[in-house]
Amino acid sequence: MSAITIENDLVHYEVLGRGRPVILIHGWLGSWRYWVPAMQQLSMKYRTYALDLWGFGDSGKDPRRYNFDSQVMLLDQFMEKLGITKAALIGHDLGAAVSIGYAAKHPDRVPRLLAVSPPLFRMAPRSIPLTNNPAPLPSPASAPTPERLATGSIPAIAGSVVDDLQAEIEAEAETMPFRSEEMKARIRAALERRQAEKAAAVPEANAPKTPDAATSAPKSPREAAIPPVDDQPTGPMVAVTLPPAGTPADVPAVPKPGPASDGQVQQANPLREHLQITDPTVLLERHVAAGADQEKLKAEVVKADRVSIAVSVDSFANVDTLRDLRSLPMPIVTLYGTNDTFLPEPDAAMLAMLKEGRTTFHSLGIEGARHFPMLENIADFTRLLLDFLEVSDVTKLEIKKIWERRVR
Amino acid sequence: MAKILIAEDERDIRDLIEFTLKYAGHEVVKCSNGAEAVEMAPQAKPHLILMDVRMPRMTGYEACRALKNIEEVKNIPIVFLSAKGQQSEMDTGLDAGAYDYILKPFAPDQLTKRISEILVKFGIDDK
Repeated sequence: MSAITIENDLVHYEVLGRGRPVILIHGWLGSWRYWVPAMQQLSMKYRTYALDLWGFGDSGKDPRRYNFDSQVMLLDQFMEKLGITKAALIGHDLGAAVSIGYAAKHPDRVPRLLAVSPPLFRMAPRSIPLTNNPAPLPSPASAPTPERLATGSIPAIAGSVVDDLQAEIEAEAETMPFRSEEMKARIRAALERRQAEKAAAVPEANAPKTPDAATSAPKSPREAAIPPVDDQPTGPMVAVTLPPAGTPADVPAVPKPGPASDGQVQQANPLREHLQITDPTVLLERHVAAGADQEKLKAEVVKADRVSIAVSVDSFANVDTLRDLRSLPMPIVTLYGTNDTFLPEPDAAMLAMLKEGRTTFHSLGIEGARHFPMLENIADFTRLLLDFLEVSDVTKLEIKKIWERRVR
Repeated sequence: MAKILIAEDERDIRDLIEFTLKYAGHEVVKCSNGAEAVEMAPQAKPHLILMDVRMPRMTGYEACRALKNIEEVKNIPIVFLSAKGQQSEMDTGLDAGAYDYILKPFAPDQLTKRISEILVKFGIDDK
């Protein structure tokens, strides 16, 4: 086990191999460990680093560092501490967003970037123009913290825009091209429920609360820091409540990302529905087909502080990964599992928008893979990874079904 | 999980084996030649020794013969790592007291599977 200290807290990482540096960054459901097969394959040509983000795996669990900007800062400080001046970045869901966020700030330090299942939504409450000159990120001071979550100050802030946006959201529910009928119906139902709850709020607040089986058990300090579902910070659409956990078929995917255009009102944070409400181990079972490795993954998922997941998801409200991705100059590939029901492949319109006027962007899908292609289809994934790190023109990359040995 | 001694002079391969076995849950001790393996084994008391054939100071074969003459470690299974093209040397290794061979290059998951099978055969808990 290797570790360094950053801001007086432990950052766990593993390193393998020699050669040009490659940094692998995990997502919401896991830790460095699910990069192990990729690290093994890359290690003969590259020096591969895989680190645990704040709140995940064996890295520090100080809630003050859980917001998105702190995770980007962690990557910056990690590279600084280890003397890595440039590195190809490989990130998965949250890790992909962190990689994109870092590359937007330091494009000269990222020669190429592979984003596996990146969350490509435009989630800030107001639109940010899609330009090649991204606006500075909002101050980290405005990002949600567990304290703000616990004290309810986030819902208060979010509540101030709820009424403003409600009409827009209702309109969106009707017009957003990527929303399924089921999702629209659920949004309408949630809005109606919100109205009913508002009307009943005062009498309910005065009524004595009866503990039920779910809430009567004493909570650990860590559990107590996680706001209950009903108290989750609410953006415009957060009133959408998922039904109790059931079979995977019962749970809809995060809405398929659709095209965005300048001036469009951005959607609310759809990740909340999944990551803040549903137990991460349940989510893992729903979205991975990693066979025997599932148990190893689960062991890592339970190490993550749920507050970290909640805060990073919430701070996504201030992040425009899509805009950053579009503005990056280096070769970039986005990769999806074609059967991913958690963060599905963007639709053709969004891909066209990302490709427009660029010769350094490519998007690929690994056939049959779900949310963890690096574990579900190790051979295809690592072949692609090796090719991605070598080719001069990433638009020519393809998923090779049969290993083509190069003859020199 | 088992304690495994790796004797391999090539650093990259040694690191990869260490990484792979640790990820599989094993405890790993390592050295870079046969002489060090002979010195370390009685103290480390590993459940299995994974040894390269061609190493400086003392080859894998010489180390294997030496280990089989040390009472407290003579029953520890020794597995050789041998490059393709050296198959003809297998008999020499087995004559020296090795239990098995693994050919290089190997896929990491094949290595862990093979190690696991050997540990089970020797009644060492691989859970």
